[in-house]
Amino acid sequence: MSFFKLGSDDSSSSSSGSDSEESILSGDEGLIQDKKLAQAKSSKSKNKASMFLRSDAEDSDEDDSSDDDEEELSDSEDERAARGNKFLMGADSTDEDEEEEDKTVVLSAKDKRFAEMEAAIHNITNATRNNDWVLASTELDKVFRFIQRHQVTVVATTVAAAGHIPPRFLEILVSLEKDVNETILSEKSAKKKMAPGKAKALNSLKQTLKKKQKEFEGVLKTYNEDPQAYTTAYEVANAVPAPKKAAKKVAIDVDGDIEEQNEDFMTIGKGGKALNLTPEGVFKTLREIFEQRGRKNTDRAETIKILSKLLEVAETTYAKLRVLLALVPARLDYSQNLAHIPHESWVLGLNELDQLVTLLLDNPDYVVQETVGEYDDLVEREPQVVNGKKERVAVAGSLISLLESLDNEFTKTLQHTDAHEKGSDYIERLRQEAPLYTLVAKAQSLFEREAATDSTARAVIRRLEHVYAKPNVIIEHFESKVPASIQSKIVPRDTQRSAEGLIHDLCVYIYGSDNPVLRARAILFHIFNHASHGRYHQARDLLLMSHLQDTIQHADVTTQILYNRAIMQLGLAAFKMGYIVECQTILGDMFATQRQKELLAQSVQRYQQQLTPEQELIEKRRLLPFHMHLNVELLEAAYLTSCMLIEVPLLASVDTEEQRRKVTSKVFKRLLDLADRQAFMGPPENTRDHIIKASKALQAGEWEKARDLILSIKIWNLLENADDVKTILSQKIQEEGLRTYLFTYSTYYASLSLTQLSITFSLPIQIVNSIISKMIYIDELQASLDQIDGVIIFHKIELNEVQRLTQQLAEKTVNLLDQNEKSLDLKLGNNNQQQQSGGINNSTDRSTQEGGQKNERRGNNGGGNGRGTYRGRGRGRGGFNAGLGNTRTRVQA
Amino acid sequence: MAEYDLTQKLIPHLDRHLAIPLLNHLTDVAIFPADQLAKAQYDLVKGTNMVDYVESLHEQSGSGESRDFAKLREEATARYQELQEKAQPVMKVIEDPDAVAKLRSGVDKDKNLDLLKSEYNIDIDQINALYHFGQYQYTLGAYAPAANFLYHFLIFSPSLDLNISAHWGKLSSNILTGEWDAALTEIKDLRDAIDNPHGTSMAKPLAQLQARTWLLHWSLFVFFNLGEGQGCQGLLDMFLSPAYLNTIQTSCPHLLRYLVAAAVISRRAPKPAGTRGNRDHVKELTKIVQMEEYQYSDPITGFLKDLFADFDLNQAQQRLTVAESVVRSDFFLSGFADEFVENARWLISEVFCRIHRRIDIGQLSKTLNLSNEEGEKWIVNLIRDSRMGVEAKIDLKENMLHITRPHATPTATLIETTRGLAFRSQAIQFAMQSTGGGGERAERGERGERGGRGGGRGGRPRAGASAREEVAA
Repeated sequence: MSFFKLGSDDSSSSSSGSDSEESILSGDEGLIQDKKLAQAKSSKSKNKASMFLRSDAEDSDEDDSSDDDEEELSDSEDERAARGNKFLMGADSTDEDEEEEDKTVVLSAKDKRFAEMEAAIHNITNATRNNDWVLASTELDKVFRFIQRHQVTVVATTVAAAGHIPPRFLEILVSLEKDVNETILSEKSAKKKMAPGKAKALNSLKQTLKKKQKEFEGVLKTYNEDPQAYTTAYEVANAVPAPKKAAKKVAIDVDGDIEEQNEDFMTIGKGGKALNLTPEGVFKTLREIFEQRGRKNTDRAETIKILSKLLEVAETTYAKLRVLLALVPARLDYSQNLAHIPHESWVLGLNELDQLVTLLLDNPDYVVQETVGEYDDLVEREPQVVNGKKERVAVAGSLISLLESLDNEFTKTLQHTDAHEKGSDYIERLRQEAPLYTLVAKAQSLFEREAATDSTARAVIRRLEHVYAKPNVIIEHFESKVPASIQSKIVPRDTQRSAEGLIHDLCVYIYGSDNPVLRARAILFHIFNHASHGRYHQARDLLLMSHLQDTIQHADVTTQILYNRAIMQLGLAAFKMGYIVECQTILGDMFATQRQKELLAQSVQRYQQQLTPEQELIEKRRLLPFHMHLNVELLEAAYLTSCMLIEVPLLASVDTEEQRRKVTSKVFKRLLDLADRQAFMGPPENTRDHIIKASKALQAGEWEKARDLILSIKIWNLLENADDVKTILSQKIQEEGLRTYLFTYSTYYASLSLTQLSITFSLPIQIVNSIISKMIYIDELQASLDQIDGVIIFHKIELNEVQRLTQQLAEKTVNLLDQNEKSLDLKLGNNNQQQQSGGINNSTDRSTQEGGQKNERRGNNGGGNGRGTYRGRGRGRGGFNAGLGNTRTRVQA
Repeated sequence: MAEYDLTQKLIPHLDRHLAIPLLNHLTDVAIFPADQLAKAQYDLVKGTNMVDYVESLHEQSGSGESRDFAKLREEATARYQELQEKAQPVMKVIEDPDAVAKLRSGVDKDKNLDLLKSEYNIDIDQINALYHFGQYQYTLGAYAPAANFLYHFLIFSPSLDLNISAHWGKLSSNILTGEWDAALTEIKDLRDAIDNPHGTSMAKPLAQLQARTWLLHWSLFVFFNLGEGQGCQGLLDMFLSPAYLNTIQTSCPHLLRYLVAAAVISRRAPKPAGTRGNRDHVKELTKIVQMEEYQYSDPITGFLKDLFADFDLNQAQQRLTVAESVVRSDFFLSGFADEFVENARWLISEVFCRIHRRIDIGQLSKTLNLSNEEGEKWIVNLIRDSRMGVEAKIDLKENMLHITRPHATPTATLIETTRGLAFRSQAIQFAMQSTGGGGERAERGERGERGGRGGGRGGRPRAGASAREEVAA
C-alpha cells in the first residue's frame, strides 16, 4: 500500500482495499467502515481527539490490523486485550499461556512494526518538507498508535524502562514540533494563505503534539538532555533480553508445535472462549452458537466461520444435518444491514442447502420437521429400530422457509445488480438460477416423499416462478439440469414432456391444493405462460373461468402485480394473433393509468410525491428483477396501433365534436390532439410518433403511407412472429383505411364504384364487398349496393342545423327520462331490499368502497373502468367486444 | 360427412341406453363402415341387462367373444324377481286407492313417511327398494315401468342424492318411451336441482358442470322432438341462459351446432309470448361462434359466421349446401333439414335485401341455390312477407329486383326518439304516487304495457334502437 497518496484519500483506499479482501467474510465490518468513512473524512481533524473517542480509534485500529493481512487474527485479539490492559494500567496482565503465545507472535511482528514506524516517520519528514500537513497528521497518528501498542507489549516484557520508547520516535516528536512552530510563524508573516485543509491539519497537528509531549514528558526530558545517551541506553536495554528470549523461545516452540497441531480444532471465540471444534464437540458448539444468536454483539461472520468449520468436522449424518440447518440460516441472516447478502455467500448458502436436501434425499431415515418431539440436542442420534420398525430421526427445522428465503435472496441480489452495467455481474448471478431451480426441484421431490402437502405446494410455486416467464428453450435447459434420479409424482421423470406440459402439470397440482392464494398465482402463471407462447384462447378461457378479474382487487399486491403481468401478456398475445379489438380492450385499462411500469413492478412510483421512505422501500422490494421485465414500449406500441385501427374509422364516422369526445380512448385521443396542435411535424423519431403519424395518414386516406410508417417501427422485431404480425397489420390497415375513407368521404359522393375502391385499397373485390355489406348491415353506413352496376349508392341525408339541434334536444330529454326511471327504480328497489335485509346492504356497500380506496394506489390493476368487460365467463366472453359494441351503438343513436 | 358427425362427442355425455338410438341412426345413415358400427353397438349394450338384444347384436357383430346368454338371462330374471319382491309391499300400498288418497292429502314428505311407517309398516329401505327395482327395470329396457316406479319413489323418498339419480333415470326413461312433455318437466326439475345444489353432491363446481353438461345433452332429445316452436324456443332459452352457455363454452362447444340450428330453424316460427326477439339470438350466437371458432366449427356454425360476421354471401351459400347434408345425417336435426334450409335461405336473402338496392334475380337465385324460376317464386314470397321491412319490386324486363328502403327522414327519427316520452313520464308519476306496497307492481305492469306499444320489446326501448329495430323487422 502506498503511503504517498494524499491523506484524504488514504483512509478510503485502505478501507476499500481491505474491503475487497475481506468482503467475503466481513462485509458487515466493511459496511461499518464505509459509514465511518464519511464521518472520518469530515472529522479528519478530530482524529487527534482519538484518544477520547475510543470507538473511532478502535476502528482505525482495525483498519491498520487489516492492512497487514499476514497478521493472525489472534494477534489483533491480543492487541485488544492488551489495550484493555493499558486502561487497567497493568492491574493484571493476561493469562500466562496467552502471554507466551503473545510473545511468539509478537516477536515476529515486532520487526515489521518497527519497519512500519520507520516508514511512517520517513513519511512525516517528507511531508513536513513538502508542507503537506494533512499527510503528516495522519502519519503521526499512526506513529502514536504504534507507540501505544509498543509500550503495552514492552511493559509486559522484562525490558528495562529505558528501552521502552524508541529514540526515533522521540526524535521525530522533537523535530516535528520544531517544524510546526516554524511553519506557523512563517505562515503568519506570509502573504499567501495556506489552503484551509492544510491549515486545519497543521493546527490539529500542533494540538496533538502538545498533548503527546505532556504524556511523554519524562522520557522526552531525558532524551532532550542527551539524545545520544538515550539512544545507547535504549539499545542496551533492548539488547540484553534478546538472548533470554531466544532461550525461552525454544521451550515455547515445543508448545507451539503442539498448539500448531491442535490449531484446527482450537479456535478462540470472540470472547476469548475456546470453541470445541471436534466431532464430539459439534453439538456443544452448536448450542453455544444458538445461545448467542440474536444477541446484540454477536459477530455473524464469526458464527458463519465457526459453523462452516463445524461442517468440515461433522462426521455423522445427524451432525451434518444439525450443522447445515444452523449454517444456512446463519448465512441468510447475515444481511441485516445490507441490501442483500454478498453473492458469493449466497452461492455457498445454495450449495449448503443443496447438500442438506441431498443428504435428506439419500437418507430416508432422517427427516426435518417443523414440529418434533423433545430431544436432547447434545446427544448424537441415530435411527433406531423399535418393534421391528425403524424409527426415523426427526430434526427441528423448516426446509421450505429456508428454500424460500434463499430464493428471495436470489431475487434481492438481482434487484440490486445493475443489468445495464458493462460488466456481466447480472448475467453471472443469473447463471445461478439453474442450480437454484435444481435445488427447488429436489426439495419438491423431498417434500413429496415426506407427504408434506403445504411445503410441496410452496415448492411447486417457487419452481413455477422460475419457469413461467421463460422461453421454452430455457425451461428445457433447466429441466435437463435436474438429475434424473429425482423422483416426483407431480412431474414424473419417465415421460417426455414439453416445457408447456411441465407448467401444465405443476399448475394442475396447485389447482388441487387448498391454498387460495397459491391457486390464484398458479392460474396467473399458467395464463402468463399460455399467453407468452401465443396460446391466446387458452389463456383467455383460463382467465375467464378463474373469475380472478372479480376478486383481484382484494388480493395481495404481489398477486396483483402478477395479474397485471398476465393481463399484459394476454393483450400482447391477442395482438400477435391479430385480435385488434381484444388487444385494445385488454391493454386499455393499463394504459389509461400512465403508471404501467409501476403497476408491473418495474420501477417505483414517480408521480406521487407523498411517498414515505418506508413505502418506497416496500415498493422497491417488490420490483421485479430485470430479466423478468415486460417490454412496456412494445406493449404500448401494440396498444396504440390497436387504438389507431379502431379509433380512426370511429372518429371518421362521427360528425359532432361532442360525439367525438365520447368515443375515443383518452390516451390515443390526447396524443392525436397533441399532434394536431403542432404546427410542424418532423419526421417520426420514436414508436409513438410513428403511430400518430400513421394515424394522421390513415385519416387522410393515405393507407400506404400509414402502412409504411407502422411497418417501419423497429420494435416489432421483438415479437417472435414479427412477419406474420406485419402481414396482419398491413391487411388491417388496408381494411380500416377503406372504412375511414368511406366514412370521411361518403358525403361527397352519390355513388362509388366497387372496382375502383378495390383498386385504390388494393383489396380483392370480395373483401371490399363484404366490408361494405357489413357496414351497411349494422347501419354504420347509410348506403346500399347496386349489384348490377357494381356500385355503392349513398343515402346519407345531411341534417340542417335546426334538425340537428332538435335531435340533440330530444336525445337529452330521453336521457333525462331514463335517469328518472333509474333513480325511481333505485328508490323502489332500495325500499324493497331494506324491508328484506335491513342494513346488510349498506354495510356491504361500505366494504366495497373501502376496498376501492385501498386499491386506489396500486389496485387499479386492470380493474378500473373496464372492469365490467371481464366479469364472468358468460358476460365476460361476450364482453371482449361488448365495450366497443356499446360505444358504437351509442354513436348511432 | 363422417368428419362432421358428432356422435362420438355426444356419447360420453349420454346414458348407455340413450346412446343406442344414436348408433342405430348411424347405421341408417351409413357414413361409417357397418362392421365397426355393429361392433360399437355390441360394446355399448354389453353392459346392460337387455340379454335378448345383446344376443342379437352379438351375432351381428360376429365378435369372437363367447358368452353364455342363457345363464345371463337366468341371472337377470332371478335378480328381477328378488327386487320385485322387495318392492312389493310398497307397490301394494300405492295400488290401494285409500292409501293414495290419504297420502295425497298430506303435503309434507316427512309426514307421509311417518304415515307409511305407522299404518303400513313401510320403512325407508323398502322405499329405496322401489328405486332399485326401477333402476333394474331400466337396465332391462323396460322404460315405461321404470319411469313409473321412479315416479313413485320420488314422491316418497327424502334422500336428496337418490332423488337426483331417480330424476335422471326418469328423464331417460321418458325420453326412451317418447313421453316428451313428461321429460320436459323432468328437465325443469333437474335444472332446479342442479342450479340450487343445497347439500347435494352437486354442490361442487366440477360436479355441477358435469351435471349441466349431461342435462344439455339429454335435453337435446326432448327439445328436438317437441317440434320447432316449443322445442327450439325452449332449447334456445335454456342453452342461452348464462350458466348453460358457460357450460357449452367450457365443456362441450360442439353443442353450438344445435344451438345455431335451433336459432335458424325457429327464425320464423310463431314465438311464444314473452320471449325475446330472434335477432338477438342470431347476433349473440354469431359472437359466440366467432369466439369459440378456435375449438369448434362445422358447416352450420360456419354458415352463421359467413353470413353475419364476414358478410360473404357466396361463401355462406357454399357452406349451406354442406350444412344441409350435415343436418340431414344428424340424429337430432334430420327431421328439421327442410326447415333449416328454408330458414337459412331466408336469412341469406334478408341480408341480401338489406344491403342491396338492385339485385340480379338470376344471381340471387344462384346464391340461394335455386333455379331461375324457383328463385322468382321465392322472391315473390319473400316480398309478400311483411317482415322484410323493405319495398321491393321485380323488374322482369331487366330481370332484376328493385328494393327501396324507406330512409328515416329527420322528422321521422325525431318522432321516433320522442315516442312514448309522455307516457313513460306518466308511469313514473303513477309509481311515485303509489310508493309503498303496491307501488312497484303497478309501475311494472304499466311499463310492460308501454313496452308493448313502444316496439314489442319487454324492456325499456332505447332511443334509436327501436327505430332501427323497426327497420330491421
